Amino acid sequence: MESKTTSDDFSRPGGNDGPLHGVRVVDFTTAWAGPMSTRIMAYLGAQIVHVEGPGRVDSWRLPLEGGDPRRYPSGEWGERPYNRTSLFNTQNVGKLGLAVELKSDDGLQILESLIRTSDVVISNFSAGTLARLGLTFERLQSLRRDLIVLEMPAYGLTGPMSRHVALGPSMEAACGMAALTGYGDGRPIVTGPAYMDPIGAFNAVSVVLTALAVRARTGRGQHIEMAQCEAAMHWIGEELLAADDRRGRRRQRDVQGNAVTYAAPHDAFRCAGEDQWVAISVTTDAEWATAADIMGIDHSGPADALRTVLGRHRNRDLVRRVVEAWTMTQEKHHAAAALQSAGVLAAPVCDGRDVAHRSDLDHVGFFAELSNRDVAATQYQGLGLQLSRTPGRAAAHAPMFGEHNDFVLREMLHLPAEQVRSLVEAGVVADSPTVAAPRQAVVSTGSHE
Amino acid sequence: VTVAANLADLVVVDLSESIAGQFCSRLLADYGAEVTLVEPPRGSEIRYRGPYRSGARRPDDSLTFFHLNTGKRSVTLDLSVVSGHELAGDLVAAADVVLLPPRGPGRDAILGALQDAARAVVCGVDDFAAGSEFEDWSGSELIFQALSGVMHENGLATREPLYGCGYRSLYAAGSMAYSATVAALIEREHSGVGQHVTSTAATVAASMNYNRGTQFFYNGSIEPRDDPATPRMTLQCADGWVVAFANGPRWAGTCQAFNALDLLDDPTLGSERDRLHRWGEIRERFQRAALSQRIDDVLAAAEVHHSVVARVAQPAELFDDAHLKARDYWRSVEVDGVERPVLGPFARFSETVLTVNRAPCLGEHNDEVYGRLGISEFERDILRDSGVI
Repeated sequence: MESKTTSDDFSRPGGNDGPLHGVRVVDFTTAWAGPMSTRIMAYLGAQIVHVEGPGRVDSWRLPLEGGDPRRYPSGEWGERPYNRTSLFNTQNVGKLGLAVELKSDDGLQILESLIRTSDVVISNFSAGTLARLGLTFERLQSLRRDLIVLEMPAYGLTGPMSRHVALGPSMEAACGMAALTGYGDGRPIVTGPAYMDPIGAFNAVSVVLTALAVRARTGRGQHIEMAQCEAAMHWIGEELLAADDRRGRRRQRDVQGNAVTYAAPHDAFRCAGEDQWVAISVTTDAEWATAADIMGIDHSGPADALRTVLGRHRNRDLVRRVVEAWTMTQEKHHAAAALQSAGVLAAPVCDGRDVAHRSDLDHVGFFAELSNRDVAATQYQGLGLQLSRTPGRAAAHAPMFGEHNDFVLREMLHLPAEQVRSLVEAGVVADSPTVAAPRQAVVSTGSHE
Repeated sequence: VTVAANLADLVVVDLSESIAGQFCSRLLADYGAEVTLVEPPRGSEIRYRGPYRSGARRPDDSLTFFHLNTGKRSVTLDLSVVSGHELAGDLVAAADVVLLPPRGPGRDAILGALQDAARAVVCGVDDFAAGSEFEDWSGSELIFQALSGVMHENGLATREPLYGCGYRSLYAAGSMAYSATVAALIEREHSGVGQHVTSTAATVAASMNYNRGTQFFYNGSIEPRDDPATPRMTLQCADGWVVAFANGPRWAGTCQAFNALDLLDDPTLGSERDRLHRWGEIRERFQRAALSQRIDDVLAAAEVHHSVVARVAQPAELFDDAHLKARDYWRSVEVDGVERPVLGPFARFSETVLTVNRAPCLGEHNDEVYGRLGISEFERDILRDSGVI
């Protein structure tokens, strides 16, 4: 039996008393999907060691010299921009940061020692990256017999697309989602900056937790290959099965903006102000009558056609005209509240400012105030799950680059001070990056920089 | 004795009546748990959600229901009457996991029945947080996407924002419910005690935006829809659409993949900083190059040059997709003597075997499940004639 970590290790940085207390994860991921998955596990109490290298910096810290000012506190890069971007700092809350050069034998040895004391290894690098480092599953399992290893490449470890590199939006194209979104002119639309990344994160958490639950029963670890596209296809499973069903009838799905079969209207309508919108969904004729009353819509004219569900579907331009005649005079939050209080589904289309001020998020403690040396106290976005007895929490600010090198080497791996000093001098571990960009193309950065 | 490397023997009762809840219990069923779906006598609301399978009869023709409920058992039960509360209490008494019905008298009754079930993991999948400003609001995919901060950025700057497709925020809430539930089961291995877990769709959806709440707190900036500074490109080729990226270290490779050599040779676009404010123009120039290219050729070149390009797949095309075929992705199950496709494994585990089975017909397991509770055939007829099951 391998040496188990002691509970003392977990009372120190990293980990909390959530349900995964006592689980240690080597987080070999970058950008969004992978780091968000380990952030969720950190919230649930696992101790996460986020591994970077002096020459292999998490791409969400980049560019090293500072990028789009919108990502930085007060729009300022500061002395160490890589410790100050909202992208990295949001998705790495509650983790330990280790920066070790894996291309050196010493560095690889440190990683292997760490894996010997760990329960889970997660990699979101392109297919074959772990194997190229010599870290095949067989090798990893020889370090720890009951280890759980998750690889989450875009298209999988095999098949003709497995050698392609990918990002969230390209995966959204490949898995069928982009073709289901658009304005009806045939042009596909991918969702915002990279919706596939949080989807990949959620899926990764679910498969790792499954393997941990199975290990608790069997005592055995395992290797998991999660092709992000294949897992995400389940999230539109009914649309895919319907597409197959229509194939026989040579019919394609109509994609027309926000239109759906279960509500009409089902759309965003312009409100007072610049680029302000309210989303409204009407599922029955009675709801339409209620909404029309609130909006002062006169059914004696052309709007008479809108009393029926087919009328509202066939006359979407007319619906927009009569609804916007009201919404354009309204502040979006007020419009939504007025409709909801009458039983009509509506919501403001929120931008970042609106999300930051959502009272329902505040109510559940969604935001956590965290800080470190390079970033003053700031509110960080949280997660949407709650546990009554072992709640978990956002325990600490995201690590600065290499912030916990000393803790990992001295306290967790019990290396003597002298050896740690020589590793620093040799550049095997470092607390600042040495190159401008990672050479290895990565999966799912969702990066805009 | 070999212990099965899955979640077999886990007893799950799903009363959630929601896409999120049924996705959560679908994952549990995939991994071998014994999941009983409790439906109102006319059928789960999800049975009345399209898209529908052609040529099939209601209420068993909803593909949304079919996809979400493979591998489960179905019993009917009216949770709005006292007799239903009593039976539900018996159903959940021995469960490891209970997915609660929506807030209301039905949920209160179940919570009452579970008061002494210390080992149960009790999962609520809610639309909005209890006690919050939106507690009494009604939610849907559009509503959660609108509130999340994602929809605001989705679509063209000149047009209305788009909610996306399908029910992705509801699947997200279901995925979170699954992870919270399994985390509680893992913790139960040590403590022997269960707990209540909650996944709230309006909150989960907000956790999926591009860090925009945090970004606002950092510096007050707000991202526009279809940000002109983004290097993401949706390009029309000679035979369809692709999504591609040309930023950072991918610049030269992407220029080569699209045979856009004028861009590669343009000295004014030599560095990432040069390109930072010109993505609108760059996209247009890539588009001109792409129009004469075939997707297969672009993809072959992209592979060589490590550039990020993917075909915009039409959903129907995925059933013949060479990559998915090579990976033996698609599976099928028998429904009424006909093989019907189902999606392939969520992930490939070296130890854990995933099970897949068809979705149940309405009330298909009433006799088996209620019989096991000691309710005789005669009593089942009484319950049926009373509209309870």
